[in-house]
Amino acid sequence: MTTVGKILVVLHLVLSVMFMAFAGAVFTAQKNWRKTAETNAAQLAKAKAAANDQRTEFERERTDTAAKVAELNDQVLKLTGEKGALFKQTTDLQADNNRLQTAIDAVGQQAELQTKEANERFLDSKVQVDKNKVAYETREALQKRLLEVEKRRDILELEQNQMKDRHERVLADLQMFKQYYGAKGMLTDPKQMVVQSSSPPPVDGVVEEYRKEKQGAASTELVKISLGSDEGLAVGHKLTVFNAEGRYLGQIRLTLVQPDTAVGLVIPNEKAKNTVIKEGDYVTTKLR
Amino acid sequence: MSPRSSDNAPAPDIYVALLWVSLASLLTGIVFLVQALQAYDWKVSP
Repeated sequence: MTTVGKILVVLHLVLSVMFMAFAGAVFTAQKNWRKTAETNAAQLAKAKAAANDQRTEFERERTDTAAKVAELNDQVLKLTGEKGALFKQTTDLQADNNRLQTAIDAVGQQAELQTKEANERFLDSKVQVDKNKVAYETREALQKRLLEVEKRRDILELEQNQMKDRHERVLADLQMFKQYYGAKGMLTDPKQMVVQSSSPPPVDGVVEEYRKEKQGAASTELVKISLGSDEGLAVGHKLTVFNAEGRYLGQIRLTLVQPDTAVGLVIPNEKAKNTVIKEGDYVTTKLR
Repeated sequence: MSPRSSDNAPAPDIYVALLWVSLASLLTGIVFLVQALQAYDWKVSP
């Protein structure tokens, strides 16, 4: 081989290696601009679509916003009117509030007074409770006392019944004794007994009327005299009768006494014989 | 060029080997460029 052939071989080798290196560099370092362009185109289309959507949305929102603005303007007008009404209402409510505050103050003062009164009543109730307790204890004691008294009353009623029976028996006996002593001509009235046993006052009088009454075989002589209970005489008192000459005529026992007159029954055993009592004779209690 | 007999054939030397290496380098570069063109679907101009 000639020298030129050798040089061309080496040169061919160098150029082949450089071609390979260049092709490898292109293959390894190359960027797929087509794919990049397609990707960018797709992104651009997507961005345009998004922009169109946003524009549409913006237009719609602008329309809505304009409608809302108009609506809000209407609401502003309406609220302005309502504000005026509310302001007036607020003024009225403020006046009512002031009036109610005044009322609340008055009610508060009243409540305070009522609270004080309630406290006082509470204290009074405590006192009353104490009193009630004492009264309850007193009532309990009185009830015990009442039971004792009722028991005592029952006993006394029993004794009273016994005494009543005894009293009735005594009355029956007394009635029997009165009938017995009356049949014997003796006094049975205790008042007459007392009068008979007591001395009449020393008085003098005149016979106003004499009357003799016959009842079958027996006769009764009645004398009306000018003395009565005003002079201290009573039924049962005995008086002596005498005439103007001082002659003894008899004795009478008073059976009826009035304030200024009295009527006496002539005692038969005490009457003087062969004498007559007449109007104008004298009576006296000084002689016995 | 007349055919050579095996007895007269020159013995391969280093330059033949360099030619084979050059051939392999050319083929490798061609493969790289073919693959690069396949990425663009063999379209050179848009």
